[in-house]
Amino acid sequence: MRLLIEGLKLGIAALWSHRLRTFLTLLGHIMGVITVITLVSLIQGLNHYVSEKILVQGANLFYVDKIGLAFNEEDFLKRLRRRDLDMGDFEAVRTRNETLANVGAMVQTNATLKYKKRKLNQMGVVGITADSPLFDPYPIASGRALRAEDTDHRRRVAVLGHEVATELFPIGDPIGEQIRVGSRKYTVIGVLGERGKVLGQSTDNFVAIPITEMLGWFHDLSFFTLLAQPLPNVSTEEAQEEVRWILRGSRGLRPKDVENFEVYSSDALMRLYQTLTGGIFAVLVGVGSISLVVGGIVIMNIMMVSVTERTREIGVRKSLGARRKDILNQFLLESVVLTVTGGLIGVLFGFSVSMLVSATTGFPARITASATVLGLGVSAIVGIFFGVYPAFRAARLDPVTALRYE
Amino acid sequence: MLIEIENLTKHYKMGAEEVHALDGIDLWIERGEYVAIMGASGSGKSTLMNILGCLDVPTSGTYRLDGELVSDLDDDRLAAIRNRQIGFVFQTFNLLPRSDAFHNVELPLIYAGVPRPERRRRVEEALVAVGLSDRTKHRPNELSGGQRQRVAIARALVNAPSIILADEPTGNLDSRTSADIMVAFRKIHGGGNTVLLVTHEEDIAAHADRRVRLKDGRIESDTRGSAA
Repeated sequence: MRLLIEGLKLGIAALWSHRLRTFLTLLGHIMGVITVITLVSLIQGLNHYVSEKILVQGANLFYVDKIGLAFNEEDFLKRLRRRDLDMGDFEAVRTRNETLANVGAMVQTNATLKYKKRKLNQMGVVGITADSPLFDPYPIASGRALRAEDTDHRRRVAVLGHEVATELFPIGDPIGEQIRVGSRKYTVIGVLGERGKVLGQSTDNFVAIPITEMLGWFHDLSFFTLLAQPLPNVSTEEAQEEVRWILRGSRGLRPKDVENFEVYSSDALMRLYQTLTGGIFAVLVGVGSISLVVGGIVIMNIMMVSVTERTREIGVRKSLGARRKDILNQFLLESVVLTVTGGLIGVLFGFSVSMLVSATTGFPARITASATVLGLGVSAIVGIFFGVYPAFRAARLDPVTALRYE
Repeated sequence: MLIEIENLTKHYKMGAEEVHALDGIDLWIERGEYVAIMGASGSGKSTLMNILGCLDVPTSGTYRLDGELVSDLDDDRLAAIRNRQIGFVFQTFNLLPRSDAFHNVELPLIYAGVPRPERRRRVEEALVAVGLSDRTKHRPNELSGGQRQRVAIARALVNAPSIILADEPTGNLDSRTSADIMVAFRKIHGGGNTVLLVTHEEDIAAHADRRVRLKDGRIESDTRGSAA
């Protein structure tokens, strides 16, 4: 311990006495840490954002459709040939289930929206059942939500997403007004609250209409999706199992037949996101780490120079009773002090850079304690890894030769 | 007997040639002696000093220091012996340039694992003994040659070693300062210390009580009595 403190002091003093050289030596390492910290902050920010805003759409919500999470084109095309889910399947689940708090059905397409002379191209049109769990994150801002009577009577009514409402009705109240979806007229009955942008993409640019009405003119059921939410005291697995059995019945599958539909949850979506992005992120951080290796090599080089320069000092220390271990620790500590100092600077700059990126591009960065620990920990490891060989060389010096060194 | 050396040899390989730096040395030195080891360059006196100082090990023969056989110890054991038993004074002082006098003198105690308060006390004592109590915060480049050498002497003394081993301690000093330093050694010897002085200068060697002359790796003569 005594020697450790002594070594730390020595290390700091040695580095301080060559301030400029120390700084220049460290630049590479600092850049490396900045790169890695920035990447990690942006990635963690993105992950956090995704899990918070996109995927958690009401607790333990799950979905059923015929495609599911297709991981490749082959699967996708194969599943596309399956029999569509339809309102019959929805009704079966709705009436026979004993485990669900809520179940809905949904189809989507794009269409041009018009109000008088205003026109919005390629807006999302969502056909949906009343009280669908899909709308949990969207509170009603004005008017009312879709109700059972709207779907029962196939009413031509529409609930507007926030962006659609403000674009079509910059002034005045949309409620009660008539808009066109494609060529059909709908009466606006409600406007949803604003949810904001997710990764620069608006989540408020759609219009919701009764699914029953939409199926009157929209016949592609490939992406007909059921949304279900289990009762509070029922596990997602249990509810999913029940829905499977009901659907097997409604789709006329025999016990030996494989299921021709997919059940998946928000969790599964999150896992898919992680599988898809995890590899990319790992590669990004890996590439960023190359600069750490380069920085480390520079540090190793300067430590070699330092050992050579101080050969005589090493000889003197040995003559005064320093063991190999003492010399090894001295130089190792010096190199760790060097890299951890660089790490500290790098972490601070890395956070600044990610904040800057976040402020200028709107990309969600996130500063975490784990990133700080990572930055400093990796720095210490770089210091030890690239410092060990120079320190070992120093420790092994023969005292007689070292003392005679000019 | 403090130092017992028997049939000591040291051979080096210089290219294809083998150099016999020491070629069968027998030497006994008692505690409290003041011995000058003399010889021209190439006589083997530096090699002998390195082995006496436990910086190097002999090719063959035995070296007992204070009863302990040190001729075949490993590196770290030798480091411990150097730390406890030997105080070096070098021709070029060999102080750490970036450390002040206090820290330079403190070093052997740090490696010995002496606690801080005791270190402080002993360093101050040693600096007082060499008359530098007012220079503790000075770095080597702020001290004169004589003062530097006295810092080095304080460093050699601080751990109360069995032997003070001085290698041409006046080689880089003018004659007046040299005289001062030699007075300092006389005082150290007077305090009961064993002093080994390696030199090629007759007038410096004259300060010692015993002179061992080396030639071609052997002891040429070993005379007692003050020549001064």
